[in-house]
Amino acid sequence: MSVMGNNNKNFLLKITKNRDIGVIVAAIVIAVFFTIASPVFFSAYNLFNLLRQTAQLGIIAMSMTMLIVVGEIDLSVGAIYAVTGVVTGILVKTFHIDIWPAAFAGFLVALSLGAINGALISATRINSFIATLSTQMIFRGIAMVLSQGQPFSFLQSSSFFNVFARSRIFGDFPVQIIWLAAWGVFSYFLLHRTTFGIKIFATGDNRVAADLSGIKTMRIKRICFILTASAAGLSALISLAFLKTVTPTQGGGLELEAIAAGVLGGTSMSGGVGSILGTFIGAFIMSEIRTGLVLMGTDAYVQDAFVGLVIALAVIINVRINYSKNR
Amino acid sequence: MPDFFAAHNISKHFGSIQALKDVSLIVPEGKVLGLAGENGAGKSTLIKIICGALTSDTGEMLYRGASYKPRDVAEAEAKGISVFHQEIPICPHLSIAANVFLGPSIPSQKGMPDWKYMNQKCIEFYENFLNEKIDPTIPIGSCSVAEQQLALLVRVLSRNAKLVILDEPTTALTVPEVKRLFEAIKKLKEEKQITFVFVSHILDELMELSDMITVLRDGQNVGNIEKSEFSAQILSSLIAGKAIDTKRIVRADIISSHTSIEVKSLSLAGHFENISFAVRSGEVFGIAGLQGSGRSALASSLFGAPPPDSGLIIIEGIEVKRMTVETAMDFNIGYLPEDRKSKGIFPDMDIAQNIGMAKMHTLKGVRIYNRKIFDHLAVEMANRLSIKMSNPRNPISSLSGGNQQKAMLARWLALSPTILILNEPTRGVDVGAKSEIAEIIASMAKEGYTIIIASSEMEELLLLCDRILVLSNGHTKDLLERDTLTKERLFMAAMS
Repeated sequence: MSVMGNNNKNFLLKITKNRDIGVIVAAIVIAVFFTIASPVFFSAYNLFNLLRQTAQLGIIAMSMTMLIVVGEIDLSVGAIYAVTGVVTGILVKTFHIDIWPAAFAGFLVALSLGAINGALISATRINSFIATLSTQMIFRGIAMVLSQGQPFSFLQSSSFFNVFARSRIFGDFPVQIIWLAAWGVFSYFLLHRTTFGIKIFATGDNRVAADLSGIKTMRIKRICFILTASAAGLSALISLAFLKTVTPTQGGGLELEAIAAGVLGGTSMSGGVGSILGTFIGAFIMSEIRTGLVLMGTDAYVQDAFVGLVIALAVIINVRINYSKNR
Repeated sequence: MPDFFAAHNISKHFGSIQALKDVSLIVPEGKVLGLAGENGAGKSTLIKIICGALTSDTGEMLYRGASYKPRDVAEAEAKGISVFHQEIPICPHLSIAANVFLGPSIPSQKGMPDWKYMNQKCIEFYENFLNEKIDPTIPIGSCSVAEQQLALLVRVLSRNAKLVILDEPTTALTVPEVKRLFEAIKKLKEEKQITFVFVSHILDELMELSDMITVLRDGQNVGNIEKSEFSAQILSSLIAGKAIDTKRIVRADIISSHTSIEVKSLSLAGHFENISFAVRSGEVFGIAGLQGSGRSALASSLFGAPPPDSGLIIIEGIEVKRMTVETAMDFNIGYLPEDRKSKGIFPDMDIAQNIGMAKMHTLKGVRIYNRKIFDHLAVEMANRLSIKMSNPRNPISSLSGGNQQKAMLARWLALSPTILILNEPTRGVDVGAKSEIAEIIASMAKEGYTIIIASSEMEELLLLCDRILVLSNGHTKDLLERDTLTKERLFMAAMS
């Protein structure tokens, strides 16, 4: 009997050692709760729907996690998301360019805005919170000026819309999920399975020690800014293809949701700690709660408050776990 | 009349280490007692016992004729005994008055701080204690370090301190600032009958300020010297001890004639100036000097962190115009930083990653991180340096301080560097690990590595080094060759 007990203990220890286990359990508990409250919640249709809704936030959040792990933050992703859509919209609407090259141009713009963020921070060494708060306003302003505050709608048909959002594979499976999965696998490998990823962790964990180990920490940070901005660009194209419309105000607050998803998934705001899987599930939990509350017929205005509550709870639990680990 | 303050037969041990052994000393009222001794001699332990931060195992203290047994710092302060630390605890954005009064009971009126009272009182204190007129409203952060120290002195005195312990107060001060502080202390001593215990590494300062000096060595009081007997010679031989060290590792035959690294008039503004030396391969070269002498900065500048402002570094005959960390690594130089916690360890990463981090640098771009290779490297290094670990995937924090330090050494040995710069290689490790690390260093030299050690522990340098460069105030004070390398001479050069 005692041997059994020991084995159980070891198994439990192994499980609790995995940093992602807390958030996975939370996702399951929330799913069970909503399934009891509203049986429709646990259906293939709803599950696909949930993942589809997770796609836009999840893609950005996973890259943002890398940026937070490296010790920086990007508050301008929502604005980059808007600029990407607006640039694509103008190229199609005003310059009558085909949507494929237009979207590609929009994506390149996102990428260069990320490069600007990175260059700004590495050249001036301003705190990235302040630096990207200002570029957020600048980029949002650019979106507003370019569009003159007007939305763009796309009435033409193009394979672009199908590839980025509209197709359903095997009948029910929304294509956004493929994009989410692809970006997720890419991010996972980059952060957790390459030497570059180890350098990201090292830079965020102890910048001075990383510099003294010969790691070019500034370059790594710049690349993380570009990756995060690219994720915002990709996410914007998925949104554009799905809604067939863009507005210069889209993506407001997206940066904070992306950070929240990361924090839910166990990312430490002080850098050096984080996981792509955790962030993915963090983003998934946020969709779970929103969808679940809708299915339960809850007042739409309550949703944000509820999501906020869950984030606070998750962070409190996370801090407690880390505290007990360090003792 | 009883002594103002006396300690009798104080002993204290930490684990198996005897930090203090039967130490007795007497501090007469209105005098300055100098307290000298090298690192680890027991000065800090003694101070902590006097100010209530530690309690002694045996022995007793008498203060103004009565038994004195403080349970904590607050009780000692209430009785009039205060310490004045090396690092100044100030709130830089608050005014001088606010810093003087900061504490659990700030003078207040109707729940608001009573600035008028505090400012007025602060001016009075300054006039009373220091005979100085000041503006108490200027933020203390804009004052010089010496003025900040004076403010803290006023703060301590305003709380009725009668015995003030000055724990290396001059380390951060410039020469005129030291003079100013000393004048203030002398005045307080003569006019207000305040008593001081003055702890310092610098012999000249000790001799200038003290009325008598007590020297500690290996936890024991080895001498009380009266002012009339002060001399640098006597003091340094008392501090260093007469014992001739036999442990020294002599390896004359191993050093090659081939110059590995040469430094020509190297300077870094604010740290060191015009330093030149050459080190042959297989040689262990020491850099000695007090804190602030440029010792640590010189060691890290050789690795390009930060690059020196001017001068030349020649490695294997190749001139390096600007040494950066990258160039240094390209030239196969390794560097062990002085503060493991802030500059070495990746606290949230595992042992294998911590050991493999410098090797990671050599894998440019994005490559698959093959855990097994790094686990293997960690195990290999653990065997070579006898790092006690159960699993390379365990967090680095699971290792003891000594094993963490060996892991830091392993990080560089993994690259098999030709030149290894070690800055405080045994700081923060226990005695056992200290000698293990010393053995590792000696055996590396035997294998032909060029080793440069910067250390505040002169014993360590004496034990390991073939030659020692002594720095003082950023300048070369002495270069001790094999035949001139004695403990007395090293202490004399570094401390005066």
